[in-house]
Amino acid sequence: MSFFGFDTSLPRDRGHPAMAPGFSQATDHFAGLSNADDDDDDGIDFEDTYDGLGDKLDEKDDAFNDETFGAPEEAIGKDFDFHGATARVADAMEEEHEVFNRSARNQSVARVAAAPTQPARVEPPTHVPVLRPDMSLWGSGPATTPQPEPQPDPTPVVPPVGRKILSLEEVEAQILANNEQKHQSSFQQPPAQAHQLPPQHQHTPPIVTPQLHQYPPPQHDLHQLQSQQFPARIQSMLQRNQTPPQVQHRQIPEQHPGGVPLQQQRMQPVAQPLHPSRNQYGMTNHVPTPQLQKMTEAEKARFLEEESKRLKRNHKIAQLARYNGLMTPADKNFITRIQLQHLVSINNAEDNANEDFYYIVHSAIRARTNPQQPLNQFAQTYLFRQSARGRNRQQDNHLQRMEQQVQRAVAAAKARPKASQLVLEGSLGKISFSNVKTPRPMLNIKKSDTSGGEPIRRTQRSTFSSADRKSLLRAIENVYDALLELEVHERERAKLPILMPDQQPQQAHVEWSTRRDQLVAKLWKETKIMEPIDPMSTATHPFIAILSYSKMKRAVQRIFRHLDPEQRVTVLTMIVVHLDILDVVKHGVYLPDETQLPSAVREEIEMFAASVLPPLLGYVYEAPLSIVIGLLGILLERVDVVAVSKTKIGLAFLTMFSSRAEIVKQAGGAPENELQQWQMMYDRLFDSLQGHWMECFPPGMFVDDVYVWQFLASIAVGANMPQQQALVSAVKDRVMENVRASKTLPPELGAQKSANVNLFMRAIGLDVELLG
Amino acid sequence: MSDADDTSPIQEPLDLVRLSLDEQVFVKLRGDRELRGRLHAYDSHCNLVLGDVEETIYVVGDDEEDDSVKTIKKQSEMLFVRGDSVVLISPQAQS
Repeated sequence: MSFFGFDTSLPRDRGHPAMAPGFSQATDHFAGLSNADDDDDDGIDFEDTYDGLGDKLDEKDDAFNDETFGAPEEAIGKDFDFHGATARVADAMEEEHEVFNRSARNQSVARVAAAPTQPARVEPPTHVPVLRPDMSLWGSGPATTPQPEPQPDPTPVVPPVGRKILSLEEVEAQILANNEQKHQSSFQQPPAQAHQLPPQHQHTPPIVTPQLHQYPPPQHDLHQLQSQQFPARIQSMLQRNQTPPQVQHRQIPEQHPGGVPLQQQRMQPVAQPLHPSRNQYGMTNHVPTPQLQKMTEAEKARFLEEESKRLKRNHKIAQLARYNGLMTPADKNFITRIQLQHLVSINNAEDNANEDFYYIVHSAIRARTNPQQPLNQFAQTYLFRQSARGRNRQQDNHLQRMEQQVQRAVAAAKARPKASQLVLEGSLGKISFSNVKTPRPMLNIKKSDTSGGEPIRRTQRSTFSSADRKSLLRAIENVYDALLELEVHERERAKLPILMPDQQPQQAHVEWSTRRDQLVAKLWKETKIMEPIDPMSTATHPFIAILSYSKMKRAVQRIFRHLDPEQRVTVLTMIVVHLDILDVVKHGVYLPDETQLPSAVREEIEMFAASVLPPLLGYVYEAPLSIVIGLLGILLERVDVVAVSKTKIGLAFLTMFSSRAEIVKQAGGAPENELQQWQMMYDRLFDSLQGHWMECFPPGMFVDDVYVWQFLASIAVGANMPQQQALVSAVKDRVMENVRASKTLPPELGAQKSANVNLFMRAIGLDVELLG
Repeated sequence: MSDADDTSPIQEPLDLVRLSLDEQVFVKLRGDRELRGRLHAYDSHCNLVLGDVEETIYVVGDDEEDDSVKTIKKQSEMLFVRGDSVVLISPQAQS
């Protein structure tokens, strides 16, 4: 088959060298070739006989070429595909060369012999001369034809491939596509047709010839023309005849030669073997064809499929091979080293949480923006993010694999002596190592391990009495040190083996909790909260003193998490006892001519309300009544309640206690004696504040006074009749003012203001609405 | 509390800077500049991150006659200061 197919292209081949050296070059050459064809016996025939039928074919039908042409012709088409793919794969091509050289001659002889006999119109003599150049193609003959050129030079794999395909079928198809439209417009001009059409016909034989046999009536003229003109076609017809007639041929006729779509040809390497390939590449066909002819359809298909698979693989390999040798061994080593280093740092990420701490926490917080995650899990995320890491791991399977591969290398690297210095024999100094993790230390300051022993004890615990700013700041830093250490240790828990509920704690767990207790104790000590309270001293208690710094305020929340209930109540008590000297209370009182607190004080108050109050509130709202009573008792005992009540924070504490007591009372279940005690406490509180209710309000009309109303509400709920009346008469003016103001204010602010007042009004069973 | 406090002895100069974290500091820079602001962070190179900074730049008039010193003040919400320009860091007690 290859033979015949090849023959068809011969006329062109002959002409080609004259026109241009490279077969793969511009399409013009083929146009020129067509002229050459004309000179040939075939070409002349065509000119004379061609009636332009081909041009009349509807171009639109070409759209279905893929379906009609490609699919049905599978068996034959595969040859082509095989062929095109081979052309791409240099190696394969070489092989084919060899085989072809050996077998081609035999085949060609056989073919030539067979060809004349079968179709009546075939002209034997034409074939023989045609065939010979083909042979030269493969073998040692001059590579004048377009096809042979790419084959002898296999090395530039990719570019030639594209060219080859172009040269034969695509070029033709392109010419067809481009020119046919012109033809239709300039249909009558013979010369133009002569130039442009012949290539089509050369190309088309495989497609068109079947028509001859199967559809004589409709397209008879065309068939005759073509058959007469082109021996190549006839040859392909011969092939057809030899192979069992295929149903697919029916569809072929509808396609005009020009219809061979570009796309289809580009797809050749992929799957679709096309007829035309035979014409072009005798070589590829030569191997399969003899066998194919003997095979059944199924076998053929299978065989071709295998072939195409093999070729595809070869092609792939060839493409990859393009990049062979790009990297030197040194380059590869370099890359490997980088990868290893990366893995090591990944491995150590958990150990080095401190290095990455802020990033890790930051990402944990960002991850928390997921609204599904309840707030209380935040602490988990925050402290035990390793578990989250574990989840990520699943995605890093490949990483894991490589990690295992290099496990030993990493272990070796880790096991490397930690020494950062090396003294070589004979060197004048020390050589310092440095790497990413531990940059070469420029200054080597020896740190004494302070956590171990306590070499120098302060002789006097009361040094705080003369506490200056610097020592307070240092105390805060100590608190933070202890806190951070503790938090790091808490994170360590994630690394412990998980305990089953009924399991005995292992050694690691015991050690861990022992260490934790130590750290908590250290933290507790650093807060200075256990410094004895000296009622005689004028100096501020150290805990209260350091609490006046906003950074300490911020720490309270974090510290609270690690404290046991007893310690918590100690903190609360300490604060309550010193409520009047707490900076936010002391400075929170409005001076007579002030309508606004200094911004620094306001910031501190905000900070206190945001950081210190919540944990305290959280504790108080679960505290038993007795503790509330006790705390309020201390407050009334030790602190100037009137002064405290003038501040936001002070009122917050009072509100905290009274509302908690009220809740306990209403929930019931509290012991009778405690309720009585509470009533006494409440009365004392009420009495001490009697006459000062209005002083609770911040100066100015348009300030945020919601906390005052909250406080008044919590007081009013527990008040008896006379107390309520006293309360109402005391704040009546303020209520009326607010109600009036709420009407002059913009709706939103007004509503807010009346809602505030309503907090109180509802507590005594009234409503702002009733006031009109 | 004296320096004898053992829990965190002063080991290096920057330990003193640490005490000023989250506090108002005065920073003198090269190029006749001064900063006043809240110290958020620092490192061993004296790179600083300051918040609510007031920057004061002292400029001497270019003219021969006019050698009076003018000051330019700038306000920044947040400032990163590269350590190599820092001359001194001083805690500023809130006044």
